[in-house]
Amino acid sequence: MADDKKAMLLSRLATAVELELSTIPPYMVAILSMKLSANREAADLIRSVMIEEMLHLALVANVTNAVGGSVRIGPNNIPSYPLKMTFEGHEFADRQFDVNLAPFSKDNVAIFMEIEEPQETPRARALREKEIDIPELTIGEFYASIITLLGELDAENPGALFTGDPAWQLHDDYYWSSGGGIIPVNDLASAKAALDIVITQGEGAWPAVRGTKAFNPAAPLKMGHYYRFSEVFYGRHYTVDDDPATPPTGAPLPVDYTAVYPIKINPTSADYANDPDLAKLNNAFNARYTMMLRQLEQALSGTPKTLYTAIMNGMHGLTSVAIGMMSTPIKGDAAGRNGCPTFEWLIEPE
Amino acid sequence: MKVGTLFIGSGVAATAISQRLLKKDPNASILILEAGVRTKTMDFGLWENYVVTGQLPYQPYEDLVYPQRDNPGENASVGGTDIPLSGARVFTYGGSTMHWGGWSFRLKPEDFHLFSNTGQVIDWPFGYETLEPYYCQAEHHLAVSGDSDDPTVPRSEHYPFNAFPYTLEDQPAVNAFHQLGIDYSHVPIARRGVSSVPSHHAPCQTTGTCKYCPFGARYVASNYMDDMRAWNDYPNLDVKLGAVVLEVRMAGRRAAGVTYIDRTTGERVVVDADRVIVAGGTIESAKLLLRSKSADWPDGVGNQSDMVGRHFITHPYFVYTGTLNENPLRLQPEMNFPTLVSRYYDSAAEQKKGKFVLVNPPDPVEFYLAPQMQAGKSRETIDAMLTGSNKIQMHGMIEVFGRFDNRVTNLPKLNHMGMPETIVDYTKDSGFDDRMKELQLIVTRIFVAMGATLTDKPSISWRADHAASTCRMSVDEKQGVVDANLRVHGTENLYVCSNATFPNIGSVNPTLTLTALSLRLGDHLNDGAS
Amino acid sequence: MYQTKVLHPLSALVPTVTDSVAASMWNLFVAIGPYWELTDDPEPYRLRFTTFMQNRIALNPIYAAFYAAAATCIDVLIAHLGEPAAYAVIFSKQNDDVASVPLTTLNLVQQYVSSEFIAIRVALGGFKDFGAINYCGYFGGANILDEPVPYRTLKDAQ
Repeated sequence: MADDKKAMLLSRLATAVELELSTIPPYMVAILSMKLSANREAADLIRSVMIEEMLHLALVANVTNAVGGSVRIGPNNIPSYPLKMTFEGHEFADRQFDVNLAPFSKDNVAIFMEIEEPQETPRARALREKEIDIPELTIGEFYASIITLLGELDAENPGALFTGDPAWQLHDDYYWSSGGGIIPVNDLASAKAALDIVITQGEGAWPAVRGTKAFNPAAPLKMGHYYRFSEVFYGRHYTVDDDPATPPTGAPLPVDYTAVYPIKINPTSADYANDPDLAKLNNAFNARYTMMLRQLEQALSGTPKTLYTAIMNGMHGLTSVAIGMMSTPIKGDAAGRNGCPTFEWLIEPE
Repeated sequence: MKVGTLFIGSGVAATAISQRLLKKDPNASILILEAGVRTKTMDFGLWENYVVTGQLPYQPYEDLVYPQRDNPGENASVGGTDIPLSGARVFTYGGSTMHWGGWSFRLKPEDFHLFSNTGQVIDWPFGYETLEPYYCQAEHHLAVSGDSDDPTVPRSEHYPFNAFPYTLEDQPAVNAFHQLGIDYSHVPIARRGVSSVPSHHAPCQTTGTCKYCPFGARYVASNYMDDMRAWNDYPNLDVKLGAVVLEVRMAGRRAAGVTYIDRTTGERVVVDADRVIVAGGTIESAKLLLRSKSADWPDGVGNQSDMVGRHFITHPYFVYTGTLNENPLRLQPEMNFPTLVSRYYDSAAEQKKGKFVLVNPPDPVEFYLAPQMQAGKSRETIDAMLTGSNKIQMHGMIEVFGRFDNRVTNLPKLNHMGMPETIVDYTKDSGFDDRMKELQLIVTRIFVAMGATLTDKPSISWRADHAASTCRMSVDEKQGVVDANLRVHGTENLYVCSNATFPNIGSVNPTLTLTALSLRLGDHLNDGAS
Repeated sequence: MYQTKVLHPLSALVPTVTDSVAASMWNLFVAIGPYWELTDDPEPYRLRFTTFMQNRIALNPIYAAFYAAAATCIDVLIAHLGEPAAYAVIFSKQNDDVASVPLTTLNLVQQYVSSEFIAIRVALGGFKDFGAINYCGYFGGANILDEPVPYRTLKDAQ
């Protein structure tokens, strides 16, 4: 029984890893598709969310490792686009739409908002509307279910759950974007604290009471993800008096959707069959991307120091190739679109 | 072409002043002319190359050594004492912050009153208290980690980041200083730390490869300039690389602009400007003023009293080496920057004779593992070498004083980067060797207290890393080149912002003071100066 | 955060080494451990080592030839001497001379391949057997208040 529950916990944590990993390429593509020098504020806001998704990934990995699991990132569980995330055979209640690798556009920002939209829990809504069928979990509820599982397992057999090697934990050294934020996990309290960050910063954050300020105009890069995207979407900043349930009414935030490379949406390697130059670049990108993911997996499963190489070599190296592709028209493309990296796992002969 | 503010040089001075001007007016028109080109920073492959070969990507942009037999070299050393230029500075976007060590000391209050206290050189036109608020701001600009409780100099604000704890390698020096009653403190170092203030610049990961930091945790001006340029928030900020400025064009008391050679096209380009700030370092700034001759300025702009290029100084950097009989703690370099300094002899009492600091280097026991293995030594041999008798070092810098006859001038010849070469005419003071004998006695006692035997006289490097004073500040026009606000005497809109303007440099690294002066000049210009 | 000017992406398309050369280089890298009695497990370094070789080649494509030459040289040595002895010839530099220009293939292997591998191996963690907890080239970690200092401090002696 406890074994089943532990297996369920590990399975859900594995899904959580996939979930967090899956938003990073779409955000990255949107940012890199912007032509300098327009859209700076929008880029900063999206980048800040992307970097926090990396934090979430690290936090989920810490929980996984704390309970003796291990993080797997490989050809079978990396995201492919258009992406539809499922969970134990079901879609998430709040993710019933495709996520794309697509240029920065109003439609795409709308999707980003949907990804990060605070949800009233279906259970709460069902209760309120006296529905009989309880629908699928939202992502927020999904994370809450992980916390519940952790609590139950810890209570059933105290001291037996958080037995992972502390050396596997990532700590503040590895996340320097805004001066820390990674919580090493070694007990239920720290596991909850770690997952609470994931829930409140991103998916599933719902202001408990209407009128609660889930956003903070004084620290725009600390607002919930939804609100950062909302500012981009509406082209306005929030003010201190704004109700988080309504659009922002503050100072304009200039957005120029025309200063964007016309990249191919959700490309695959096959799209470059007639363009050897782009095919080569895409291959170079995927080789580096694959190596970065392999290094990421290693960093999240026992060798944290590898993260430095994954970031400094992998992530930074990807940028220049991606921009190179996005500024290059695809030969023979009738719609006149530019290239875009495909984020595919490159199988290397071992 | 006409611009508002024109800088010559793209180092910390241009970066800090630009930041200040743009904060007040994001539309400010600024052009920065840099003779050098870009060196890629934070590149992992270049970093790995440095780790395994020791080669730095900006080395090609340093001066060559002086001409020797069979080696044509560059520049000319004509005085009694060679001041090497090679390795002292880098001609690249970001200037010498590309390679600096980041030691971020403040001068002491007495340094501002050298003449009053000792009869040497001249006083600064203002005191420590004038610069103190700007020292605080400079420590933020450079992201300095330091000990806010250090009583060495008065301070009104904390350092932005905590001091790095003393290393185990500091132990012999600490023991000795304790025994001899010599004060010591943490080295304030420009390595970004971790605080609650968000930054997209990464903190130091104590990787020990500071000359090419893979994270950009050690301040490099071009990284900050790139930040300002990246998104075009400042539509009228521009940097032109490969621009060798030939002269500042003067129209009476006003600088009309400059003429430069575009190294890519070979073209001569004329730029007009409302104000010109020469920020090309001590040597190049002085040489440029000397080259800027006109009917009104027959000997070069600002040189009416024959002060430009004069009083050239730098810090003699000394290395004392001794022998430690055994090394049971296996002391070896784990860091790449020092954490321990003694400013005990950097005091008013020593000022007349030349104050000095003692620095425990990051590698007092200079035992590097990889080279031993690469040389084919066995594990047993290496262990025995490491734990056995080893050399141990103590470093430091000593103040020397500006002399009229010590000077830099233009050599009418171009170096490998298309810049005019330099004639360095320097002869050390007759009393210098005696002062070093006094040091020898002090350091001998320290080595005894460290449990080591001083093996020899120090090696002294006169390299021009801390070159200064060639356009010194003065109240009296006849005594210097610029006034208290760094404006060239006799001009309305020409400034020099460089170590060149320091009347003296005490016994500490000048960059923090230069940054403070730059921020102060930025405020002065924002307050409505020409 | 990123460079405003970067190498053209095509410059990333550089020669690669064959699988057998890569395997041979990995074996050479691993052999550093037993030769110097290092206790660190090299396996976690594998991906970073691969990246290192790729970056060496990207910076200077002649490294692909160096690695191929090294693999051939090692094959010959192993055929004559067997494994530990073959690596010992390379690492011990018994036949080293003072010339800075490599005169033989073995010199070349030592200068451009094994010496660099030693430097990387030590920086990745091999240094720990010699008493320190940080090393120049190792990502020791940040200096964070109330967290362990990433290098040995004065307090460690007390």
